[in-house]
Amino acid sequence: MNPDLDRAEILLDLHRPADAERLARDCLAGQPDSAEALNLLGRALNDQGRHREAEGAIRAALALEPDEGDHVLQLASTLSQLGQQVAAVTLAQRLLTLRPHEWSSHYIHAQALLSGRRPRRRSAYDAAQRARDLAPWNPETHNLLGVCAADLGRQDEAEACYHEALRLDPEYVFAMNNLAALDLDRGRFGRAGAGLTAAAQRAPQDDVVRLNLDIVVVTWAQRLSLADLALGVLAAALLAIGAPWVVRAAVGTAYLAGLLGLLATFRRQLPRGLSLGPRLLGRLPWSARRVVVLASLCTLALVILFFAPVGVAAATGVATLTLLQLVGALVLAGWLLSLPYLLARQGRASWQWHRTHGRWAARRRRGKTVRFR
Amino acid sequence: MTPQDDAPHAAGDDALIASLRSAVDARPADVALLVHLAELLVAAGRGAEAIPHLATALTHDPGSRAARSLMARALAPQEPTAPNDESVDWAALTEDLADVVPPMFVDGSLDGADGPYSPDVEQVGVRLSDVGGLREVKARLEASFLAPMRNPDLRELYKKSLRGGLMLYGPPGCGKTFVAKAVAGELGAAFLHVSLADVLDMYIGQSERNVQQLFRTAREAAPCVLFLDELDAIGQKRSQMRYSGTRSAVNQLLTELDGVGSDNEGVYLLAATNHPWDVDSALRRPGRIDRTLLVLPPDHEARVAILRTHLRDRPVERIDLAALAKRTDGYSGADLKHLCESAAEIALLDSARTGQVRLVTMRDFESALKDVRPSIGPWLETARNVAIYGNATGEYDELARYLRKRGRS
Repeated sequence: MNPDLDRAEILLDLHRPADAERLARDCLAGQPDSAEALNLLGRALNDQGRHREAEGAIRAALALEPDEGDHVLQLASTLSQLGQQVAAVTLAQRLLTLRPHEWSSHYIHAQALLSGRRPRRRSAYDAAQRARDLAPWNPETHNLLGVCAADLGRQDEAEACYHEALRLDPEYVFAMNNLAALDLDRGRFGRAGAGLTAAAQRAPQDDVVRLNLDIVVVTWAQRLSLADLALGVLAAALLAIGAPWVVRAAVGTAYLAGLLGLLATFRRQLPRGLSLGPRLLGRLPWSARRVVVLASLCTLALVILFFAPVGVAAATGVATLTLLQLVGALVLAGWLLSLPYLLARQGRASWQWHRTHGRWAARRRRGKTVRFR
Repeated sequence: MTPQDDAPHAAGDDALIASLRSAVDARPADVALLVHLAELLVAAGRGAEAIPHLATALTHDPGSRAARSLMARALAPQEPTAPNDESVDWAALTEDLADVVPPMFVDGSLDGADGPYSPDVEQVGVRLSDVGGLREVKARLEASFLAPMRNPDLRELYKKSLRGGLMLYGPPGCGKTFVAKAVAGELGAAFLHVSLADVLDMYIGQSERNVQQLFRTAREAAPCVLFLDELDAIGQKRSQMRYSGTRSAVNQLLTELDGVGSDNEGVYLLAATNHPWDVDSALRRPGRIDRTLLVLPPDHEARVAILRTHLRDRPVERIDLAALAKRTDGYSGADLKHLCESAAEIALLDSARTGQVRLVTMRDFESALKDVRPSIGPWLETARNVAIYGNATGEYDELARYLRKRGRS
């Protein structure tokens, strides 16, 4: 093997894909027909998220060596990343004919089946199971099987798969994230936050983990808003029946104590460097920021309803109600205005949303956390 | 033929070369004459002298095959002349001196062609006082590393162990290597620098043996500062590695750091990385590379010193270093060097265009500043995520403070 390609291979292993790309390109300048260098270039580009360019390089490698399983595998994986399900599945099936007994062929097949807008979950689950049976020692196969099981609604099985992946590799960030995402979807709020914090500690650069942590924050804010609304009704009732200030203040004190206790618990579950102050808002995506701001305003209004004199409290109650009506009307108008667009793009809407508004918005819209496959 | 027989022949060649030189001086554009002279020089083993003549010949006749082939020979590395005296029994001599001169390599081989990695030890002349600014870094270096090294009595009194090394981390191009060299200078120790390129070659070869050899060289050169540059390349988290070769190199590094089977007395371990969060946590346990020092972009004083250094040998006029330093807050040392080069380039191109040589002025720096921006932005983005999400144990508190100060967290 060319020593430069050896070096590039090590650089890929050291998570320096840009340096590996440079070496691969140097090799290709001298040997433009080197399928090995093209394959390596493709992998280096994939590692940098440049899947379109990677596709070109790996296709060129495959044209030079049409029966080389590595090229077929890489191209199938790249096309899965690009969401080209049909082409990825076709290549994965070809890989299965070339290497039927290798776990990686079934693994790539499962990934290909899960890619695109209409994942074939049942078939993907079967393929992931075959990969797991061939490589039970590999945490990646358990993780993928967990993702497939979760997609089929088999949450207990998914949880067992993630636990097994973490037993095999306790530092495996993908399984940590996926387990926490599952916990969040099941309403296990504390465990999800702690799991994601552990994953973020190990992979602070990973945007998927950070994204899921943002989702934890927003889900928490949503629940707080709902609790605020329920307590707002109680405060309004107390004001309506003319309950003495002491009674309102007592209920308010209990509310504040509970809120502070919950905040303290919540804070402990978040990464140490993540503040709950105004800086947090700056870090969140705009769509998430609105939820947090609304929850904060509701909390402030509630405190005024409980502790302020009757006149001020009543005025605040009316103002809050008006504000909420206005927000509700704006949201409704937004939905109605975007309805023709969504209908025209039926079927493609979620993908477009995904592309234009970022992964967070798309996942939140579908009520899902992001999982690693 | 014996060397004695060669002597008159060489003297004849020298005379011929001298007369040809005179002829070339008289007719400097005569390609045939130039090639003939070069041929004689190359044959006499004086290839370096032949190169300018061949360059002149090729200027006049770029297609000359004879000149090209001679140039290739002249540029080729010269083979050392083998001793011709067959009466010397080299094998016996080597055997006799085996106790006095250690073998070149561990396996006793003398030929380094396919031997293990052989690092070079250098003596450095820089001291910490040569590092401009960075007062805080120097103070912390003194307190955490140099003071215990320099005071053996106090060390003994407080039972302070010398085990363990220091990891310098920070954005790229901010002088970590220079600080490491200065530490070696302060300790009066030799300096053994292992870079990423060496590490990659280690992995391609027999990585474990090469890591072993590296530490052996450092122990032999003791007192020696062993500087592992780009530590994340050699000490990457093993859980992130796909190949067993890289894992075994980290394992061997751990063994060597622990001094298993050998004493690391006199070997001071320094490491540098831009990405300390990618370094295997096993390497950072007590007794290994257990101390860290954040080397930040140069402060105002350091920037003045760096700019002064890079402008020292350049024709400059009325450069306001303080003003420049003020405008380059957040620039790394490498960025400042680039800035000086860009300004000089602007003046050079202008001189070439006008035909009038002029000095580098502040206006050139004004123009250069529009193009040369601080390069540490991406590093700061990464560091910000680490300070927020990956600082559970507080090891990056100093970094978090710096980022807050810069309004990045």
